Amino acid sequence: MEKKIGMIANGVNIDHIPQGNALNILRYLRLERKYPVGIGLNLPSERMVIKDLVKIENYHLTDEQIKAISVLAPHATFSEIVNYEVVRKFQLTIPEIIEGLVICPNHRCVSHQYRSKFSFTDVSGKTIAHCCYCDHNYDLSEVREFNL
Amino acid sequence: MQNLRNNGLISLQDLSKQDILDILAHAKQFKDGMRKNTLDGKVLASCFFEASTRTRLSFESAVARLGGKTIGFADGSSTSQSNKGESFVDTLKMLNCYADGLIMRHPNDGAARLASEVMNIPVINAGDGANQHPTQTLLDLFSIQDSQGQLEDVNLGLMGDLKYSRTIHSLIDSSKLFNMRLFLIATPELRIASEDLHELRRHGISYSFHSTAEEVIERLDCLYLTRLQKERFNGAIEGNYGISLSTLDKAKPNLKILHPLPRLEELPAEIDDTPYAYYFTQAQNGVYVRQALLDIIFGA
Ligand SMILES: [Zn+2]
Repeated sequence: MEKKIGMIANGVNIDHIPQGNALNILRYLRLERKYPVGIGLNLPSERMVIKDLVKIENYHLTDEQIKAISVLAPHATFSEIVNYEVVRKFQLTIPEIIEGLVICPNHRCVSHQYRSKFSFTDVSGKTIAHCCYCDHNYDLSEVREFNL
Repeated sequence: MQNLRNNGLISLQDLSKQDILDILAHAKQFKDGMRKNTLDGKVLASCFFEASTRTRLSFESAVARLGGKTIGFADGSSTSQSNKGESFVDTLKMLNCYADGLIMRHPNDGAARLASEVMNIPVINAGDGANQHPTQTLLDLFSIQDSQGQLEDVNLGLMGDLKYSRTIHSLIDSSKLFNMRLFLIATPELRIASEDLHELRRHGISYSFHSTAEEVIERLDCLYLTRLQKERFNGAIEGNYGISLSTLDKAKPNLKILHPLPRLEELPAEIDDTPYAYYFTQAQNGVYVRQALLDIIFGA
Protein backbone atom coordinates (compact mmCIF):
# COMPACT_ATOMS: atom_id res chain seq x y z
CA MET A 1 0.00 0.00 0.00
CA GLU A 2 1.19 3.50 -0.88
CA LYS A 3 2.05 5.48 2.24
CA LYS A 4 0.49 8.96 2.23
CA ILE A 5 2.02 11.94 3.93
CA GLY A 6 0.24 14.66 5.79
CA MET A 7 -0.75 17.63 3.66
CA ILE A 8 1.31 20.78 4.09
CA ALA A 9 -0.03 24.29 3.59
CA ASN A 10 2.85 25.64 1.52
CA GLY A 11 5.96 24.03 0.22
CA VAL A 12 7.21 21.11 -1.79
CA ASN A 13 6.71 17.41 -1.67
CA ILE A 14 9.16 14.98 -3.30
CA ASP A 15 7.79 11.45 -3.40
CA HIS A 16 9.02 8.17 -4.91
CA ILE A 17 12.65 8.93 -4.13
CA PRO A 18 14.88 5.87 -4.67
CA GLN A 19 15.64 4.34 -1.29
CA GLY A 20 18.62 5.99 0.40
CA ASN A 21 18.55 9.22 -1.62
CA ALA A 22 16.35 11.43 0.59
CA LEU A 23 19.26 12.52 2.73
CA ASN A 24 21.31 13.36 -0.38
CA ILE A 25 18.57 15.74 -1.46
CA LEU A 26 18.55 17.50 1.91
CA ARG A 27 22.33 17.68 1.93
CA TYR A 28 22.28 19.18 -1.55
CA LEU A 29 19.67 21.83 -0.64
CA ARG A 30 21.56 23.08 2.44
CA LEU A 31 18.36 24.44 3.94
CA GLU A 32 18.42 27.12 6.56
CA ARG A 33 17.13 25.87 9.88
CA LYS A 34 13.85 27.78 9.71
CA TYR A 35 12.12 25.37 7.29
CA PRO A 36 10.15 22.47 8.77
CA VAL A 37 11.19 19.24 7.02
CA GLY A 38 9.48 15.88 7.00
CA ILE A 39 11.50 12.86 5.94
CA GLY A 40 10.21 9.39 5.22
CA LEU A 41 12.75 6.61 4.84
CA ASN A 42 12.21 3.02 3.72
CA LEU A 43 8.47 3.45 3.14
CA PRO A 44 6.49 0.74 1.35
CA SER A 45 5.56 1.75 -2.19
CA GLU A 46 3.49 0.09 -4.89
CA ARG A 47 5.57 1.61 -7.66
CA MET A 48 9.01 1.09 -6.18
CA VAL A 49 8.59 -1.54 -3.41
CA ILE A 50 10.55 0.75 -1.05
CA LYS A 51 10.91 4.49 -1.37
CA ASP A 52 12.00 7.62 0.42
CA LEU A 53 10.05 10.84 0.66
CA VAL A 54 10.81 14.46 1.58
CA LYS A 55 8.52 17.40 2.26
CA ILE A 56 9.67 20.89 3.04
CA GLU A 57 7.32 23.55 4.31
CA ASN A 58 7.39 27.17 3.18
CA TYR A 59 10.09 26.41 0.66
CA HIS A 60 10.08 26.45 -3.13
CA LEU A 61 12.66 25.10 -5.51
CA THR A 62 14.45 26.89 -8.33
CA ASP A 63 14.64 25.23 -11.73
CA GLU A 64 18.32 24.58 -11.09
CA GLN A 65 17.49 22.77 -7.84
CA ILE A 66 14.79 20.70 -9.53
CA LYS A 67 17.29 19.74 -12.21
CA ALA A 68 19.82 18.53 -9.64
CA ILE A 69 17.17 16.63 -7.69
CA SER A 70 16.15 14.91 -10.93
CA VAL A 71 19.62 13.38 -10.95
CA LEU A 72 19.68 12.56 -7.22
CA ALA A 73 16.18 11.05 -7.39
CA PRO A 74 15.46 9.99 -10.97
CA HIS A 75 11.75 9.74 -11.79
CA ALA A 76 10.60 10.95 -8.34
CA THR A 77 7.26 12.73 -8.11
CA PHE A 78 7.48 16.43 -7.41
CA SER A 79 4.56 18.51 -6.13
CA GLU A 80 4.40 22.14 -5.18
CA ILE A 81 1.75 23.28 -2.73
CA VAL A 82 0.40 26.79 -2.23
CA ASN A 83 -2.38 27.39 0.30
CA TYR A 84 -3.21 23.68 0.58
CA GLU A 85 -3.54 23.44 -3.17
CA VAL A 86 -1.27 21.44 -5.42
CA VAL A 87 -0.29 24.03 -8.03
CA ARG A 88 1.96 21.71 -10.00
CA LYS A 89 2.80 18.05 -9.87
CA PHE A 90 5.00 16.06 -12.22
CA GLN A 91 7.41 13.21 -12.48
CA LEU A 92 10.99 14.41 -12.59
CA THR A 93 12.77 13.72 -15.86
CA ILE A 94 16.48 13.26 -16.05
CA PRO A 95 18.22 16.32 -17.59
CA GLU A 96 20.36 15.95 -20.72
CA ILE A 97 23.42 17.38 -19.03
CA ILE A 98 24.40 18.41 -15.53
CA GLU A 99 27.62 20.06 -14.42
CA GLY A 100 29.34 19.82 -11.06
CA LEU A 101 26.97 17.44 -9.28
CA VAL A 102 28.06 13.89 -10.09
CA ILE A 103 31.54 12.84 -8.98
CA CYS A 104 33.09 10.65 -11.68
CA PRO A 105 33.89 7.19 -10.23
CA ASN A 106 36.94 6.99 -12.54
CA HIS A 107 39.67 8.24 -10.22
CA ARG A 108 41.93 9.04 -13.19
CA CYS A 109 39.34 11.36 -14.69
CA VAL A 110 40.40 14.97 -15.23
CA SER A 111 37.04 16.20 -13.90
CA HIS A 112 38.43 15.79 -10.37
CA GLN A 113 40.76 18.69 -11.15
CA TYR A 114 38.01 20.97 -12.34
CA ARG A 115 34.29 20.31 -12.60
CA SER A 116 32.37 17.27 -13.70
CA LYS A 117 29.95 17.16 -16.62
CA PHE A 118 27.60 14.24 -17.21
CA SER A 119 25.02 13.51 -19.87
CA PHE A 120 22.23 10.98 -19.38
CA THR A 121 20.27 8.53 -21.48
CA ASP A 122 17.58 6.06 -20.50
CA VAL A 123 18.36 2.61 -21.84
CA SER A 124 15.92 -0.24 -21.15
CA GLY A 125 14.80 0.94 -17.73
CA LYS A 126 18.25 2.07 -16.59
CA THR A 127 19.61 5.59 -16.59
CA ILE A 128 23.11 5.62 -18.05
CA ALA A 129 25.35 8.47 -16.86
CA HIS A 130 28.10 9.39 -19.31
CA CYS A 131 31.13 11.40 -18.20
CA CYS A 132 31.71 14.03 -20.89
CA TYR A 133 35.46 14.07 -20.14
CA CYS A 134 36.69 10.49 -19.69
CA ASP A 135 33.79 8.99 -21.70
CA HIS A 136 33.08 6.29 -19.12
CA ASN A 137 29.48 5.14 -18.74
CA TYR A 138 27.81 4.23 -15.46
CA ASP A 139 24.47 2.97 -14.27
CA LEU A 140 23.24 6.08 -12.42
CA SER A 141 21.67 3.98 -9.66
CA GLU A 142 25.16 2.68 -8.85
CA VAL A 143 26.82 6.09 -8.67
CA ARG A 144 27.41 6.81 -5.00
CA GLU A 145 29.29 10.09 -4.82
CA PHE A 146 27.89 13.52 -5.43
CA ASN A 147 29.11 17.03 -4.82
CA LEU A 148 26.59 18.03 -2.18
CA MET B 1 37.44 19.32 -41.90
CA GLN B 2 36.15 22.70 -40.70
CA ASN B 3 35.43 20.97 -37.43
CA LEU B 4 39.11 20.03 -37.14
CA ARG B 5 40.25 23.57 -37.93
CA ASN B 6 38.07 24.99 -35.17
CA ASN B 7 38.47 22.41 -32.45
CA GLY B 8 41.57 20.37 -33.15
CA LEU B 9 41.46 16.61 -32.60
CA ILE B 10 40.41 15.19 -29.25
CA SER B 11 39.00 11.77 -30.07
CA LEU B 12 38.77 9.57 -33.14
CA GLN B 13 35.06 9.31 -32.38
CA ASP B 14 34.75 12.95 -33.43
CA LEU B 15 35.79 12.03 -36.99
CA SER B 16 33.70 10.50 -39.76
CA LYS B 17 35.04 7.72 -41.93
CA GLN B 18 35.51 10.27 -44.73
CA ASP B 19 37.45 12.59 -42.38
CA ILE B 20 39.81 9.73 -41.57
CA LEU B 21 40.28 8.85 -45.25
CA ASP B 22 40.95 12.51 -46.07
CA ILE B 23 43.64 12.77 -43.38
CA LEU B 24 45.28 9.56 -44.62
CA ALA B 25 45.25 10.81 -48.22
CA HIS B 26 46.77 14.08 -47.07
CA ALA B 27 49.47 12.16 -45.18
CA LYS B 28 50.25 10.18 -48.31
CA GLN B 29 50.97 13.45 -50.14
CA PHE B 30 53.47 14.38 -47.44
CA LYS B 31 55.06 10.95 -47.67
CA ASP B 32 55.39 11.35 -51.42
CA GLY B 33 56.93 14.79 -51.04
CA MET B 34 54.05 16.56 -52.74
CA ARG B 35 53.33 19.09 -50.00
CA LYS B 36 55.27 22.10 -48.76
CA ASN B 37 55.74 24.14 -45.57
CA THR B 38 52.55 25.67 -44.33
CA LEU B 39 53.23 26.56 -40.69
CA ASP B 40 55.54 29.53 -41.29
CA GLY B 41 55.29 31.92 -38.35
CA LYS B 42 53.06 29.59 -36.31
CA VAL B 43 53.94 28.74 -32.71
CA LEU B 44 52.63 25.49 -31.27
CA ALA B 45 52.75 24.61 -27.60
CA SER B 46 53.95 21.03 -27.18
CA CYS B 47 53.07 20.27 -23.59
CA PHE B 48 53.69 16.83 -22.16
CA PHE B 49 52.36 16.70 -18.62
CA GLU B 50 53.62 13.13 -18.64
CA ALA B 51 56.68 12.04 -20.57
CA SER B 52 56.30 10.29 -23.92
CA THR B 53 59.52 10.87 -25.81
CA ARG B 54 58.49 9.06 -28.98
CA THR B 55 55.21 10.86 -29.46
CA ARG B 56 56.69 14.23 -28.54
CA LEU B 57 59.62 13.96 -30.95
CA SER B 58 57.32 12.79 -33.71
CA PHE B 59 55.05 15.80 -33.25
CA GLU B 60 57.93 18.25 -32.90
CA SER B 61 59.59 16.84 -36.00
CA ALA B 62 56.32 17.28 -37.90
CA VAL B 63 56.00 20.92 -36.76
CA ALA B 64 59.64 21.65 -37.68
CA ARG B 65 59.26 20.06 -41.13
CA LEU B 66 56.30 22.33 -41.77
CA GLY B 67 58.34 25.40 -40.83
CA GLY B 68 56.60 26.06 -37.51
CA LYS B 69 58.07 26.51 -34.03
CA THR B 70 57.31 24.70 -30.81
CA ILE B 71 57.44 25.85 -27.21
CA GLY B 72 56.64 23.69 -24.23
CA PHE B 73 57.92 21.02 -21.89
CA ALA B 74 58.76 17.33 -22.00
CA ASP B 75 57.31 16.25 -18.68
CA GLY B 76 55.06 17.81 -16.08
CA SER B 77 57.54 17.93 -13.23
CA SER B 78 59.10 21.25 -14.26
CA THR B 79 55.88 23.22 -14.68
CA SER B 80 54.54 25.75 -12.22
CA GLN B 81 51.53 23.49 -11.94
CA SER B 82 53.63 21.01 -10.01
CA ASN B 83 55.95 23.50 -8.36
CA LYS B 84 53.60 26.30 -7.36
CA GLY B 85 50.28 24.49 -7.25
CA GLU B 86 48.89 26.34 -10.26
CA SER B 87 45.65 24.71 -11.36
CA PHE B 88 45.61 22.76 -14.60
CA VAL B 89 42.96 25.06 -16.02
CA ASP B 90 45.05 28.16 -15.24
CA THR B 91 48.02 26.58 -17.01
CA LEU B 92 45.79 26.03 -20.04
CA LYS B 93 44.50 29.60 -20.00
CA MET B 94 48.06 30.87 -19.93
CA LEU B 95 49.11 28.64 -22.83
CA ASN B 96 46.10 29.92 -24.72
CA CYS B 97 47.78 33.34 -24.81
CA TYR B 98 51.18 32.11 -25.95
CA ALA B 99 50.52 29.74 -28.84
CA ASP B 100 48.43 29.17 -31.96
CA GLY B 101 47.64 25.63 -30.94
CA LEU B 102 48.28 23.03 -28.26
CA ILE B 103 49.67 19.52 -28.61
CA MET B 104 49.08 17.90 -25.24
CA ARG B 105 49.84 14.66 -23.44
CA HIS B 106 48.32 14.28 -19.98
CA PRO B 107 48.03 11.45 -17.44
CA ASN B 108 44.33 12.06 -16.74
CA ASP B 109 41.44 10.70 -18.80
CA GLY B 110 39.51 13.48 -20.50
CA ALA B 111 42.24 16.13 -20.12
CA ALA B 112 42.22 16.99 -23.84
CA ARG B 113 38.45 17.45 -23.91
CA LEU B 114 38.70 19.78 -20.93
CA ALA B 115 41.52 21.71 -22.61
CA SER B 116 39.49 22.19 -25.77
CA GLU B 117 36.64 23.59 -23.67
CA VAL B 118 38.66 26.18 -21.77
CA MET B 119 40.91 27.25 -24.67
CA ASN B 120 40.16 29.14 -27.86
CA ILE B 121 43.05 27.63 -29.80
CA PRO B 122 42.77 24.16 -31.38
CA VAL B 123 43.95 21.26 -29.22
CA ILE B 124 45.51 18.04 -30.51
CA ASN B 125 45.29 15.15 -28.10
CA ALA B 126 48.64 13.36 -27.90
CA GLY B 127 47.24 10.89 -25.35
CA ASP B 128 45.05 11.49 -22.30
CA GLY B 129 45.49 8.77 -19.70
CA ALA B 130 43.88 5.51 -20.70
CA ASN B 131 41.35 7.35 -22.81
CA GLN B 132 42.38 8.37 -26.34
CA HIS B 133 45.46 8.72 -28.51
CA PRO B 134 43.94 9.52 -31.88
CA THR B 135 47.12 10.20 -33.86
CA GLN B 136 48.45 6.76 -32.91
CA THR B 137 45.37 5.16 -34.41
CA LEU B 138 45.58 7.36 -37.50
CA LEU B 139 49.19 6.38 -38.10
CA ASP B 140 48.31 2.72 -37.54
CA LEU B 141 45.53 2.97 -40.12
CA PHE B 142 47.84 4.81 -42.49
CA SER B 143 50.45 2.08 -42.11
CA ILE B 144 47.94 -0.67 -42.86
CA GLN B 145 46.66 1.24 -45.87
CA ASP B 146 50.07 2.21 -47.21
CA SER B 147 51.55 -1.27 -46.83
CA GLN B 148 48.54 -3.15 -48.21
CA GLY B 149 47.17 -0.63 -50.69
CA GLN B 150 43.79 -0.72 -48.95
CA LEU B 151 42.04 -0.59 -45.60
CA GLU B 152 38.82 -2.40 -46.45
CA ASP B 153 38.71 -6.15 -45.94
CA VAL B 154 42.28 -6.42 -44.64
CA ASN B 155 43.09 -9.55 -42.57
CA LEU B 156 44.41 -8.02 -39.36
CA GLY B 157 45.96 -10.01 -36.53
CA LEU B 158 45.92 -8.29 -33.13
CA MET B 159 48.28 -9.81 -30.62
CA GLY B 160 49.03 -8.98 -26.99
CA ASP B 161 46.95 -7.18 -24.43
CA LEU B 162 43.58 -7.13 -26.15
CA LYS B 163 41.81 -6.34 -22.92
CA TYR B 164 43.50 -3.21 -21.60
CA SER B 165 45.65 -1.78 -24.41
CA ARG B 166 44.35 1.58 -25.59
CA THR B 167 46.07 1.16 -28.95
CA ILE B 168 44.40 -2.19 -29.60
CA HIS B 169 41.05 -0.96 -28.37
CA SER B 170 41.13 1.94 -30.84
CA LEU B 171 42.09 -0.35 -33.70
CA ILE B 172 39.25 -2.71 -32.85
CA ASP B 173 37.00 0.32 -32.87
CA SER B 174 38.22 1.41 -36.31
CA SER B 175 38.00 -2.09 -37.78
CA LYS B 176 34.24 -1.56 -37.82
CA LEU B 177 34.60 1.35 -40.25
CA PHE B 178 36.67 -0.63 -42.72
CA ASN B 179 35.16 -4.09 -42.45
CA MET B 180 38.44 -5.68 -41.46
CA ARG B 181 38.70 -9.39 -40.64
CA LEU B 182 40.15 -9.70 -37.13
CA PHE B 183 42.32 -12.51 -35.75
CA LEU B 184 42.47 -12.01 -32.00
CA ILE B 185 45.61 -13.59 -30.57
CA ALA B 186 45.88 -13.55 -26.78
CA THR B 187 46.15 -15.61 -23.65
CA PRO B 188 42.84 -16.19 -21.83
CA GLU B 189 43.67 -13.45 -19.28
CA LEU B 190 44.06 -10.82 -22.00
CA ARG B 191 41.14 -11.66 -24.26
CA ILE B 192 39.15 -8.81 -25.76
CA ALA B 193 36.61 -7.16 -23.42
CA SER B 194 33.04 -8.37 -23.77
CA GLU B 195 31.75 -4.88 -24.67
CA ASP B 196 34.21 -4.73 -27.58
CA LEU B 197 33.12 -8.15 -28.73
CA HIS B 198 29.50 -7.12 -28.55
CA GLU B 199 30.26 -4.08 -30.74
CA LEU B 200 32.06 -6.23 -33.32
CA ARG B 201 29.08 -8.55 -33.54
CA ARG B 202 26.70 -5.62 -33.81
CA HIS B 203 28.66 -4.32 -36.80
CA GLY B 204 28.94 -7.71 -38.46
CA ILE B 205 32.74 -7.85 -38.22
CA SER B 206 34.22 -11.35 -38.57
CA TYR B 207 36.70 -12.42 -35.92
CA SER B 208 38.26 -15.53 -34.45
CA PHE B 209 40.27 -16.36 -31.31
CA HIS B 210 43.76 -17.79 -31.32
CA SER B 211 46.40 -18.45 -28.73
CA THR B 212 49.50 -18.17 -30.97
CA ALA B 213 50.44 -16.24 -34.10
CA GLU B 214 51.62 -19.49 -35.78
CA GLU B 215 48.01 -20.69 -35.93
CA VAL B 216 46.98 -17.92 -38.30
CA ILE B 217 50.13 -16.43 -39.81
CA GLU B 218 49.41 -17.77 -43.30
CA ARG B 219 46.15 -15.80 -43.43
CA LEU B 220 47.35 -12.42 -42.18
CA ASP B 221 48.02 -9.23 -44.16
CA CYS B 222 49.10 -7.34 -41.05
CA LEU B 223 50.11 -8.57 -37.61
CA TYR B 224 49.80 -5.85 -34.97
CA LEU B 225 51.83 -6.75 -31.92
CA THR B 226 51.88 -4.85 -28.62
CA ARG B 227 54.05 -5.06 -25.58
CA LEU B 228 52.60 -6.31 -22.31
CA GLN B 229 52.81 -3.81 -19.51
CA LYS B 230 54.95 -5.56 -16.92
CA GLU B 231 53.46 -3.58 -14.04
CA ARG B 232 50.13 -5.18 -14.77
CA PHE B 233 51.09 -8.83 -14.79
CA ASN B 234 53.98 -9.31 -12.38
CA GLY B 235 55.77 -11.32 -15.03
CA ALA B 236 53.07 -13.99 -14.97
CA ILE B 237 52.51 -14.06 -18.73
CA GLU B 238 55.54 -12.66 -20.54
CA GLY B 239 57.67 -15.80 -20.61
CA ASN B 240 56.07 -17.38 -23.64
CA TYR B 241 54.58 -14.33 -25.26
CA GLY B 242 55.81 -13.06 -28.61
CA ILE B 243 56.98 -14.10 -32.05
CA SER B 244 60.26 -15.33 -33.52
CA LEU B 245 61.73 -15.88 -36.99
CA SER B 246 60.17 -19.34 -37.20
CA THR B 247 56.72 -17.85 -36.56
CA LEU B 248 57.02 -16.31 -40.02
CA ASP B 249 57.80 -19.52 -41.94
CA LYS B 250 54.39 -19.62 -43.59
CA ALA B 251 53.78 -15.87 -43.81
CA LYS B 252 52.19 -14.42 -46.93
CA PRO B 253 54.60 -12.28 -49.02
CA ASN B 254 52.61 -9.13 -48.27
CA LEU B 255 52.59 -9.65 -44.49
CA LYS B 256 53.69 -6.62 -42.49
CA ILE B 257 54.39 -6.61 -38.77
CA LEU B 258 53.31 -3.49 -36.92
CA HIS B 259 54.18 -2.47 -33.38
CA PRO B 260 53.60 0.89 -31.64
CA LEU B 261 57.05 0.67 -29.94
CA PRO B 262 58.83 0.58 -27.57
CA ARG B 263 59.18 -3.18 -27.89
CA LEU B 264 60.33 -5.77 -25.42
CA GLU B 265 61.15 -9.43 -25.97
CA GLU B 266 57.86 -10.07 -27.80
CA LEU B 267 59.44 -8.71 -30.99
CA PRO B 268 63.09 -9.85 -31.23
CA ALA B 269 65.57 -7.78 -33.26
CA GLU B 270 66.25 -10.77 -35.58
CA ILE B 271 63.00 -9.92 -37.32
CA ASP B 272 64.14 -6.38 -38.21
CA ASP B 273 65.98 -7.58 -41.31
CA THR B 274 63.06 -9.53 -42.77
CA PRO B 275 60.79 -7.97 -45.41
CA TYR B 276 57.94 -8.31 -42.91
CA ALA B 277 59.31 -5.76 -40.44
CA TYR B 278 57.37 -2.54 -40.82
CA TYR B 279 57.43 -0.98 -37.34
CA PHE B 280 60.14 1.59 -37.98
CA THR B 281 58.44 2.65 -41.21
CA GLN B 282 55.27 2.84 -39.12
CA ALA B 283 57.02 5.25 -36.73
CA GLN B 284 58.15 7.32 -39.71
CA ASN B 285 54.58 7.31 -41.03
CA GLY B 286 53.64 8.90 -37.73
CA VAL B 287 55.48 12.05 -38.74
CA TYR B 288 53.65 12.23 -42.09
CA VAL B 289 50.29 11.69 -40.43
CA ARG B 290 51.02 14.39 -37.86
CA GLN B 291 52.22 16.75 -40.60
CA ALA B 292 48.95 16.16 -42.43
CA LEU B 293 46.90 16.81 -39.33
CA LEU B 294 48.84 19.95 -38.42
CA ASP B 295 48.55 21.19 -41.99
CA ILE B 296 44.79 20.62 -42.03
CA ILE B 297 44.28 22.33 -38.66
CA PHE B 298 46.82 25.16 -38.74
CA GLY B 299 47.97 25.39 -42.35
CA ALA B 300 47.69 28.57 -44.38
ZN1 LIG C 1 35.07 10.91 -15.94
